Amino acid sequence: MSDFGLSIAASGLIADSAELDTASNNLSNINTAGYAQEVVNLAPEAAAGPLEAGRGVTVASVSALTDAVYEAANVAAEGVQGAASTTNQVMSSIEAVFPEPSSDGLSAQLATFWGDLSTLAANPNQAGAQQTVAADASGLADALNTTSTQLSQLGASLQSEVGTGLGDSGTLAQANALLSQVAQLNQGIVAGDAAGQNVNALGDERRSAVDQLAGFLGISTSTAPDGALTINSGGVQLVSGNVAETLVSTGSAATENLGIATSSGVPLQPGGSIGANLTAVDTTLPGYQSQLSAVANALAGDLNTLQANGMAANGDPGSAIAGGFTGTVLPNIFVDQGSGSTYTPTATSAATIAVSPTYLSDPSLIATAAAPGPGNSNVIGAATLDSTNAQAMAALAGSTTGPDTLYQSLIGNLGTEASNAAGTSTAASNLATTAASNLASISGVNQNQQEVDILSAQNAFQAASQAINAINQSFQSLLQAV
Amino acid sequence: MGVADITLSQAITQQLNQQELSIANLEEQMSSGRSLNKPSDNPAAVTQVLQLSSQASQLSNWQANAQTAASWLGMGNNALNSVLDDMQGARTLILQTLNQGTQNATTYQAAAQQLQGINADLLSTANTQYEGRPIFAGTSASSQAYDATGNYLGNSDTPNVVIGSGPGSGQTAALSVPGPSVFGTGAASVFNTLTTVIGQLGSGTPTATQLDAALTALDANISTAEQASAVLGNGSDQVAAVSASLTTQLTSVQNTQAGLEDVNVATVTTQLDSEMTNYQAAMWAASQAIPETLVHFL
Repeated sequence: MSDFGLSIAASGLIADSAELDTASNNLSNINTAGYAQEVVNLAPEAAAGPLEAGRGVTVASVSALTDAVYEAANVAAEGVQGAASTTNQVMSSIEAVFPEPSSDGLSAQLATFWGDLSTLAANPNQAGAQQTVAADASGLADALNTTSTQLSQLGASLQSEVGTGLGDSGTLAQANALLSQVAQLNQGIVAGDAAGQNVNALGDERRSAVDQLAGFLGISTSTAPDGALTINSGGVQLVSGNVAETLVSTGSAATENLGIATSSGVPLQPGGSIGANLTAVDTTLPGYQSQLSAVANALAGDLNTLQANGMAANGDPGSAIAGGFTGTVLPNIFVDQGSGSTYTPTATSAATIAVSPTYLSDPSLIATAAAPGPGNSNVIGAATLDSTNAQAMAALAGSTTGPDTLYQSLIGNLGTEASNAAGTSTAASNLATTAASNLASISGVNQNQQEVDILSAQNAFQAASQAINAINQSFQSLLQAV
Repeated sequence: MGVADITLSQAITQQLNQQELSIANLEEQMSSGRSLNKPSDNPAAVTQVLQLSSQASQLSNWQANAQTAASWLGMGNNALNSVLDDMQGARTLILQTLNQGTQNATTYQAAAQQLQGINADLLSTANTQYEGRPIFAGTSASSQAYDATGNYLGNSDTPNVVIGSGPGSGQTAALSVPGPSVFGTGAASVFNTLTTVIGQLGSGTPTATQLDAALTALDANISTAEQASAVLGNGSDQVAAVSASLTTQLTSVQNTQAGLEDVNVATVTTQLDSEMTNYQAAMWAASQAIPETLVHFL
């Protein structure tokens, strides 16, 4: 027993206190995002001479337990999940625009329209049948317009979800805030490290920011030797040391070219939820818009062609067979809004298809009869109840290139894409859970383990106290004996 | 290395969320009675349901057309029966007049009057209308098939409706036959035959040669009308057969559609039961797992 005994035991008390503090800190942060559990690294104090027992223990450091591989995997998984869950939400929203199968979807409206034409073919000069065809044609055009508008509105709302990056509450502005937070934390960590301070808390904060950022942008990270974290996304460096880029949005949903660029104008293709929004706005929604317009174009093209090549029950000819006819020539059935007389098929025609106002005001101007030809005794200008042409219009219901077939394939594509998006989202979420639990198996706090640590630190503390007591009593008995 | 508490609670939350989603989906199926509520529920089945319902509505359209055709043809058959009766009546009358030998003028004129009645009856039958449209006027827009003197006002086209799939606009069924196919064409028409013989009888001095010629002409008219009657009768039979087949097809299409679209209550109830049990088990496990830590035993 030397007089060093007391200070040896005291070093144990200090070490045990440090362990108790650390365990308490771990337990306090048991639910803190980004927190990595800390451990006390103890080192024995070497003995001064061969006959000494050692001079106790020192607290070498308090380090945060992390794993670079698991962290990188977690960041990657967060990015994939951000993209997949956003895509899944977008697909669900698109599905809501197409209520199929149901009795009030476009499919049912098309079926009603063909039924109207079939009825008209059996009663070509009946005003009621003519009126129904015109009214339901108008209903079809309205339904196409409404569906197209809903798709455009969805694009606009996805654009505003991303925001401009500056001065709004969009996801891009949140990502910008996180980027500059990471740059500031980098600065603190580099400076603290250099000064030998404990920067674990700054690291935790940075990890939490990076996790959120990964969900927004889909990033990759690398740590510089000085402890600063470099962040890349879509091939562009966004944070380097204490410098962060500010991202802004470019283009728009209306022009189908929404993009993201740095403030100096370098474009990037991010992943994460923002990347998924860009894909939805620039590719997915225009795709459905164009498939819907293909339905409108087939409807308008097929009916207008039959209309141009037939004649009305009162003998008025369609435009293609009118020749030098001086009376009324039948108008197109479907026209572009605004034009009023012609129809031009485009990839956005669903938004602009309308029923000709001339036809709508006089529903008898529909070519129910065939053009004069060898199979009939029709004469241009002479009334006829031939309904061959109306039958051809009604038969478009079964056309393999007609609007029904195109619409069915649109719904098939949508269903497949939405179902894939849901599957991908579930898989990405499982992947993210696995990555997070892998990381948590290193960094996460287990309450039982901390409690065991506390108990053992407490026991050690009591033992060290006992040692002090014993040394103290030994000295006292020695003093009394002297 | 151990299980972090934050992982445990996240895993429990995720598990419960997934079970809630699956229960919500089953409940939607139960309450709507449909297993397909959006395209992604089963993309292939949804596309098939859309095709089937489009097919069903086409079959219904054809069925409606077949019924229209059946009405027209039924009316045509009735008209033809009456036409043939009238023609036979006229033939009997002319034959009697011929066989009775020379009569006085009054007797001939009485016969002429009877024939005039028959002629008027024939004309009225020839102008039979279906929903305001003369059935023997072809596809003409004329409001009458024949004028008061027996001139044909219609055209030679046969009105028809589509009653099934086929080349062009589909398989068609004739609604009727144009007037000349029933009553004869121009100078050979039954109206001309009767008007001529009525004039001869009315003069009070018809010759046996004239009456013979009238009988020959009338026989030709009867033969024409009998052919038309056969055409309309066959048409009726065909339409009835097609209509029956359409009903069978429609039922089959609707059954297939219902099979894809309708909820199988027994299956969904069982699934819902088992999901609920799992959900309750998961919640019980969560209630046991979360609070139990070492601290409870110290």
